[in-house]
Amino acid sequence: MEEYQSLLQPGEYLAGIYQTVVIGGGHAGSEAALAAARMGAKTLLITMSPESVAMAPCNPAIGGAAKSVLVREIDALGGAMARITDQAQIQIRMLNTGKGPAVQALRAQIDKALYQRLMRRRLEEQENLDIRQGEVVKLLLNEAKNHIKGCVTANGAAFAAETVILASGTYLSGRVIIGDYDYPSGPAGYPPAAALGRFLRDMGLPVRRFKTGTPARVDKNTIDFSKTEIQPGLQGLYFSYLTRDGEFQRPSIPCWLTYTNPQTHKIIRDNLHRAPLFSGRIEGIGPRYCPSIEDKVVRFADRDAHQLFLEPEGENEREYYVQGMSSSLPEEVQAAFLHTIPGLENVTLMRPAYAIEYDCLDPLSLKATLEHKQWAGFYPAGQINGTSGYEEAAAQGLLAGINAAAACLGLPPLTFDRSQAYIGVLVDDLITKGVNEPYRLFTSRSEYRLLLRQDNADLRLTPTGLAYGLIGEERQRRFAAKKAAMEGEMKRLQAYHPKEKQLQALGLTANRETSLETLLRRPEINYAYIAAHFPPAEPLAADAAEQVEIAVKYQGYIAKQQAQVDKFKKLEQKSLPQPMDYQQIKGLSTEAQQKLTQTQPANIGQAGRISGVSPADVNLLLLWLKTHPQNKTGENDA
Amino acid sequence: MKSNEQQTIAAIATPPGQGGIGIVRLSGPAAADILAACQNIPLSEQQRRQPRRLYLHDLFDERGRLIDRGLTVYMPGPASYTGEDVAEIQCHGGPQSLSQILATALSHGARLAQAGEFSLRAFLNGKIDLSQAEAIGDLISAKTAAGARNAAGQLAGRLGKHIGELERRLTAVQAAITAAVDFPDEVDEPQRRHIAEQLAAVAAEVQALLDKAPAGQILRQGLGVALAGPVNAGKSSLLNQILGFDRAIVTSCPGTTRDMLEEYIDLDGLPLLLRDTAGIRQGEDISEPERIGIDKSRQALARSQIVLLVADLTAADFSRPHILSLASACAGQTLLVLNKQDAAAERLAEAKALYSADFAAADILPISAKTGQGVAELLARLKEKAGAAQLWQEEDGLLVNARQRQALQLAVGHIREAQQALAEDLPQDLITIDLEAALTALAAISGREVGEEVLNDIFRNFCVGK
Ligand SMILES: Cc1cc2nc3c(=O)[nH]c(=O)nc-3n(C[C@H](O)[C@H](O)[C@H](O)COP(=O)(O)OP(=O)(O)OC[C@H]3O[C@@H](n4cnc5c(N)ncnc54)[C@H](O)[C@@H]3O)c2cc1C
Ligand SMILES: Nc1nc2c(ncn2[C@@H]2O[C@H](COP(=O)(O)OP(=O)(O)OP(=O)(O)O)[C@@H](O)[C@H]2O)c(=O)[nH]1
Ligand SMILES: [Mg+2]
Repeated sequence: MEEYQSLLQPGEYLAGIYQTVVIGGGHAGSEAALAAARMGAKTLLITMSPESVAMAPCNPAIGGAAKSVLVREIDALGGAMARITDQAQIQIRMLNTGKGPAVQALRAQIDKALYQRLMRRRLEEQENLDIRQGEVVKLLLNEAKNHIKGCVTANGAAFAAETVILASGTYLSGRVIIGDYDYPSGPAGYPPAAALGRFLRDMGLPVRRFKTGTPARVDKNTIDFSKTEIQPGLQGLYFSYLTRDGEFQRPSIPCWLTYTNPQTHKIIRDNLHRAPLFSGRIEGIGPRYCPSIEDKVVRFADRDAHQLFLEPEGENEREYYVQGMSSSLPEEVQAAFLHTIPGLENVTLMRPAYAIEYDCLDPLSLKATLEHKQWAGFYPAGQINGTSGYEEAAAQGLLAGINAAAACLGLPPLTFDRSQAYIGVLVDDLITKGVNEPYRLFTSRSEYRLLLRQDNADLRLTPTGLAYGLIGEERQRRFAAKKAAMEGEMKRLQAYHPKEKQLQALGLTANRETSLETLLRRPEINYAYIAAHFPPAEPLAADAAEQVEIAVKYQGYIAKQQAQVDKFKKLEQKSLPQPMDYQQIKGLSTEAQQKLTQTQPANIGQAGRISGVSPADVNLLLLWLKTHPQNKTGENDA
Repeated sequence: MKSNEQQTIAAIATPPGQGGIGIVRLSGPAAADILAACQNIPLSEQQRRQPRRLYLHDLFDERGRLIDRGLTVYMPGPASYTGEDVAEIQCHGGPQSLSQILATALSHGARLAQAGEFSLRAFLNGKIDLSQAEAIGDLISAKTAAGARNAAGQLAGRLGKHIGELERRLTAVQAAITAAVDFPDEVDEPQRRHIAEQLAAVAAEVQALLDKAPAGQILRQGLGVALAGPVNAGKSSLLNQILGFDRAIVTSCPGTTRDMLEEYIDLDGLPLLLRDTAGIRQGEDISEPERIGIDKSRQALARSQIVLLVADLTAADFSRPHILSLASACAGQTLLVLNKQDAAAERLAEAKALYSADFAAADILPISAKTGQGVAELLARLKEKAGAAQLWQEEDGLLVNARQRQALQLAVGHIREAQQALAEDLPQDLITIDLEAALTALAAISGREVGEEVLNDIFRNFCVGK
């Protein structure tokens, strides 16, 4: 109590004492608050507008390549995103079928408003969790201990806490740019949070400006769908391992495909001088994977058509999202070029496209737990760490929530490495390589992706979730049943050698070695075939059967990746002291010395992934570790 | 993956250029297997032999062609120099046999040892005491520093360019598959036939490189010593003087040497690769052939371990501005040669004083390339310098090529696996696992970052994004 009082300024009052305070109720903040409270930490979620929790300011979709694995991982750890998507989806598809088990990806269109309502309800139903409206303008700093001890709102309400999660998204010093106009704003017309951005700068944290953009929304009633191609969805697909078939009655609303044409491009080209990106009005760094339409027209000048999708923002909303047409050209130019597009000739704008610039922090200063290296108890998560994307934000929020609560409850910190989860890949990339543009996950970022599939996220992570108290009974039961069924069937397939006659009757060649497992490995045979002709005592549930099929069919490649992982793990286990004075290691190259000093890698493996750290530098680190056994920071034996 | 005691490492353990016996050393779990393979005998026969005893046996390359006859010895861990299983192959045959044996060991699965890695392993396994650790650290960093400075040289050659081009093409295939996976709405899956063609073409080229590589490339061993300086300083004259016969054309007309000349000499057992370069001058009246020669000279400076900077004592400013700018382009050690002493003996003191701030007194050597005066002293000093420069040796010539060769070998293996997966109709994403491994193997020489390159390629060549 006194400790906290002493941190307050005149006019501020102590409004509450918590174990964990979460600033911001976006995708990161929501998952963080739920996880921390679920583990039993007394938690406060403080956000500028509780009715906009988990708002999706850009496309009305969850999942997609790489991201869908994240959603599944969040689910396997007891998070909310997958379940709520299943309840709020209005169309779902499986992408990349036939391209390999590691890259199959679910993507759902969601009813945005419904998603927000469901998340709000979930937050309100959560025990140990208080929700409070307010704009945080500063953090409570115990500078003697380098510890963050809570935060203060614009009204002087101070909330004390052992741990603080900052999930402020694109709001900090937000600035919206449309053509010749720019003004301070958060996304979608919500107010920006300028004071907190200034406060972080004053704390001496390096703050950078990133930029992102969103396309226009148009009125459904003014679209001529007959001139576009329909993109229907599928049924019976779910994100959450918990969702039962038919549990939620959801509509399946199509998206629509149409194309730009030379006329569209001409209007864009003629107005390029008014595009802030080209006129220099935008300083923030935007993502290469989300180019605006003016960018595309300039960079791919030889193309005379770009595709665009019309996506519903909700089941009943008239607003349609024009995917592919992100822009920061003036509103009237936007309207003009949209009117050249088949189906959109008479369309009415409901919201213009815009670009937004915002403050974010440097993730190189974070540990793998997402705790800040200089400020104990401080966990930035989500877009504030230079990422982009709902799923990336939610995954970080979950991890930060778990670790913040773990710190308060005396549990060991939780980290994932690159071989365990996409969450691990995401965090390791952030804290090892840093970011030069808003960071998004891609399948190619995950070198061990054949082991990190969306279909086995539960097998990989649910036991961890259980250990941290994040997993409910129902999930636990279903998980155990799936695992047992799968393992039992694998054993059976290996042990069962069909008689030659049996196989001949099916027209299959055979020899002494032929087991059901080797049969299943043949390209022309799938698990359904095995189950039909050599059925197990209990038929397998579809998800367990899928695991069995993948494990057998891709065994060769899975073994290859496992061997890579085994190598990787060895170096990952050799911990480096924190912090470490790299000046004392003679012989390191200057670049390696600088990068290592800045990044302070947790182990030799991470050190080796820093660009500029050579194999020889790694050997010098190994040598140093061996000559300094007094560092009891880890397994230093070679 | 950067350092791993599970891997068996190999290197030539004797200093280069010394006559007599040379040794290739192997350390790691596969030492016995590789030793057996190099002799073309079954592992069981190798295992029947007594450890720590020398056996005389023929040595064969990976295609079963005889390389040489040599002595082999096997020393199982932990009672060995590194504490791991160690094998050594000794032979007489000079640098070429040695490098062939090393290349064979690599093709049987050994990895080329990094600088100081044998000692490092010995130390990590408690075979060397703590007091030596610092020396090992020095060794690693000295060699690495040399290697880094030399990196430009490594990849400047034709082979380096070729490897870069192969990387680019593999990256393009990888990017095409990956773009379709990451942006399924926008990018179509590449045709399997197209991928197959690309992979077949790349694999064939890699194989062709490998077939050409062994002897030709690896023979280029020797300490690189370049002669550089302004036109007409007397570089070619000095080369002829050192060689003892007229190798290079000497005229009084500036810009005589246009193409770089390379010549091997054995300086009391030390193999030197002398490079006479085109004199570097600036200006408009430079012809195209001369300009190309000058570019080559610059590369030679970056690649050579020692550069003899030849200044002209009869020149107004003793060529000093020119010499200093050349010195800054040198990666290795430098000696200043003040030539034409016979014609300008009276200006020597002035020249020495002028250069005293730039070079150590012992590194300033007055000579006359015409009369041969001072050349013996120059060579003596060169030998001293070469002793220190030997630390470099591993990074240049022979071993760089062995490393490139091994990278190519690994890469072609992974490409073949990708081709097989393609033939078996496995999904495209699995192919990227092999391609990534192939690219990673090539990256060991080029130093590129595989993942970033693939993303860069995607954003450059595919129009993706909302
Ligand atoms: C215009 C635009 C386009 C985008 N395009 C895409 C896209 O195409 N694809 C994609 O995947 N992602 C896109 N994104 C990013 C995506 O919206 C974010 O990555 C994701 O929502 C970030 O989640 P978050 O939880 O970190 O932050 P946000 O969702 O931004 O949530 C931040 C929360 O913090 C609260 N808050 C902020 N400051 C304070 C404060 N001082 N006090 C109290 N509360 C505060 C806000 O009220 C809000 O609730 C876009 C975002 C915008 C704005
Ligand atoms: N007096 C004297 N003349 C020399 C000496 N060395 C070279 N020269 C003369 O200098 C001229 C140029 O000599 P080169 O050896 O061709 O000079 P270079 O540096 O190779 O010149 P380029 O190839 O044109 O760059 C010739 O006329 C030589 O005879 C020397 O030691 N003394
Ligand atoms: Mg010449």
